[in-house]
Amino acid sequence: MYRAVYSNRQLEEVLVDYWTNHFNVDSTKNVGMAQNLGHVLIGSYERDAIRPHVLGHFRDLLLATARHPAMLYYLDNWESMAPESFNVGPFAPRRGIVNGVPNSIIPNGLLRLAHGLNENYGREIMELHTLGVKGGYTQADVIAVARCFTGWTVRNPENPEFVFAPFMHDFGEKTVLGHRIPADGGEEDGLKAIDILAHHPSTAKFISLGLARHFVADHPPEALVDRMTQTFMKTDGDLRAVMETMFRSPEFFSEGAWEARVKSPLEMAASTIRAMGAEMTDAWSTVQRISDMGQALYAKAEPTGYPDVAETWLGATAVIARMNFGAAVASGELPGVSVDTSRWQGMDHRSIAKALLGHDASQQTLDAIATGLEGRNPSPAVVASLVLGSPDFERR
Amino acid sequence: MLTRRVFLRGSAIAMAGMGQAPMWLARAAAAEGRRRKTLVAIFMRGAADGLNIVVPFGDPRYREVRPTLGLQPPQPRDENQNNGPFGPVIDLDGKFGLHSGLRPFKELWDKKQLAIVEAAGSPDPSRSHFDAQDYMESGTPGKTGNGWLNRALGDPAQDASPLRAVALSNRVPRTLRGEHEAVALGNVQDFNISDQERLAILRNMYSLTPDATMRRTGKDAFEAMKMLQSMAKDQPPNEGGRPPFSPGAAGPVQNNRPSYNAGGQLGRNLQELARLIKSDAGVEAAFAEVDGWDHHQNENNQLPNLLNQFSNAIAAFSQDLGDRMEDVVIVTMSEFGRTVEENGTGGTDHGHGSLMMVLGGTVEGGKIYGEWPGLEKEQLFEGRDLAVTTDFRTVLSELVLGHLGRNDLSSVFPGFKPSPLLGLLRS
Repeated sequence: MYRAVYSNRQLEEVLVDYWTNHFNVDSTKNVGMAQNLGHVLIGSYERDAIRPHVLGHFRDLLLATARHPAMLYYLDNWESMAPESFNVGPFAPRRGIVNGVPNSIIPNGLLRLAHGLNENYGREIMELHTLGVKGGYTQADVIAVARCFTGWTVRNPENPEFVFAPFMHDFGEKTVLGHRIPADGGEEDGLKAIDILAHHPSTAKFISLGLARHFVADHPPEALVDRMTQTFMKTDGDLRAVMETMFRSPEFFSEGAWEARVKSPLEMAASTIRAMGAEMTDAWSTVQRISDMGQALYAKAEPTGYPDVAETWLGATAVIARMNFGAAVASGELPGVSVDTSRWQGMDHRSIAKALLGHDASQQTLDAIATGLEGRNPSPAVVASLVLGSPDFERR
Repeated sequence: MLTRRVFLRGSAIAMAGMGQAPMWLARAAAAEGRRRKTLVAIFMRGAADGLNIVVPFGDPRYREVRPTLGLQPPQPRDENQNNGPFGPVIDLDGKFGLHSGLRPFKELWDKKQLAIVEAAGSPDPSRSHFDAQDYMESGTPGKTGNGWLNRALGDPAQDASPLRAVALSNRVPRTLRGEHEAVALGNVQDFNISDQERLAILRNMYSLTPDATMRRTGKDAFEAMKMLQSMAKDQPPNEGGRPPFSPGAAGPVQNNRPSYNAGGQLGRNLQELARLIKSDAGVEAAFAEVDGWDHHQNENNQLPNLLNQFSNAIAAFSQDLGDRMEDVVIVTMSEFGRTVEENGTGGTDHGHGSLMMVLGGTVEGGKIYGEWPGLEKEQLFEGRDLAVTTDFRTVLSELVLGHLGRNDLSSVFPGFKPSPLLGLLRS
């Protein structure tokens, strides 16, 4: 939250937000006995798995999320294993919970449950992270990819770090999207699956479409997505190059792309606080308000993340909450956020609106303010609360 | 010609907005015909495990496919005992039983207000949450579009309410999107702009803006807000002196009665909906959702509490509405079911057939509907999942016809010919 407001590298912040939603994890998910583990891991997930790679190669980003305990827990891969593991090593029923070294890999409480494959990550890595749902995979591919990742797990809740557990791995041969992965591979099977998925043409297209939707329009032009897809394929998934293709495109600067996007609640809050030049000393109330506007941060239960289109944020109560947020900040009533509007003292509503929006407000908005406040001598805070609640401030 | 109804409605709302609505006028507006039939759709997002919700304990394969997740069959000696959400299955008809987390539903079943449609679902084979939810909400398997419940509304009557279609959620879900206005009411207790001057200016601003999306959004929001406030003025305060349309305070659950407080977020949402219905707000279609059904692991430690909340919320709603349940039908659905065989981590993966529940005062309940396809390998869809024997649109068609009183389904479920209706509603 602080970085979203204060960072001087705003593009990086936008990208971190974007990719954290793309590779969504729900920090409130309880993993067996490990309550609250999600809250502990989410900071590291964003900082160590997402942030370093947002302008790097997609494959590295995908791999970093695949190996991070937050993802391993969230999509259950940490306890997915070859079915026969149940009868060997620490999972043999008679061995029980003893001080044997391998046993420390799995938290005790789940030992009796985990005994075979879990398809969750195998499916979502293809549907949501790489190929897209129409990217050309089958149920057999879901199972094959899940088998590749068996043994990619977490040491234990006290030391939540990636570890490969050979005794959990399915060493048989697999076929992933037509590529044969020979038997006896070990940890590399997962790496091979990552490479197949990261370089697949469907991935190039799916990733390009998502970025274009986020930065250009809910329904971005096909020609733009095609050019970005080509760049992705030519550069081995270099996200910086894909972003450059987008930023240099005529579509990016077209009239249709100008403020075509409705801000998410996080974007709404960060842009309000930045526009006001406010000082945030405590983020708690702001995060609560963002949740009231419909975006509980790091707590989206479904792996799809939040749908990246306008209607997600425009429910009736949410829209009023957005208007009230601007007013709360402008009037200095939001705990943890202090404002000083003295620099706007004596300025008219048109100038204050321009200072907040970075451009002229629409004539309709200015008229509504002028008519409503006619004959009054409103404080800058009152004017600001109206501008921040205006339709003009809803878009970016 | 300006009818009396239109006059009453217009003036009641306008005056309520200025804080001057006389009680008699608001009441007259309500009495003039905002009492409506309401169809409530509840979506269980994440693919609910039908097999462990209404349990086919009579199927000999059940315990084999669920060696660790399988629930205990009913124990005759505890027939009327409440074993909590982790107890044995509650017998319904000797073959199927409720998960013990659904105990609050037993009374509704006994009162014949709860019907269960087994092996219901979508003919589309997708195992993607995202696609399957979109298809089901659109009512068009394999394709997406506007929502079936929006299309089911038909043309508005002259005095239709701004709260005609209400989603108890932060956004309007696909189920309710379309030609007719629908309002998303998430956090109702903060649904207010207290500063009257700011309210007036913002309302004016949104009505003038050239941004069509924002104009429509603003109009829906301000109208709904005004109507809720005018209704709040007419309502007696809740128990404990809390103002109406505020969330219920947490309190002890009494005498094993179902309670909104034990119903989680769904409980809060349905409590708001009940208030709207009881105050004749003119709600015809309502939507609520519960997420968290995607139990790939550790299912038996998560499902009981979720079901307990789910059934408390719905049973409390039914109890709260009392006789008004004659006007209300609730239907539940989930995008697909889960694998018949449990997976390797104490959970289940994405499957196919699931079940639907239909509740209400006019429901021909206390019966299991639909053909049970069986759990033998060769009876399963693609050799692994429960087959679908009742298309979800067959169930919804019956409710759109029989409860909402539409007579033409071709625009609601284009290209779909329902199989013979199940007879879910009393005629």
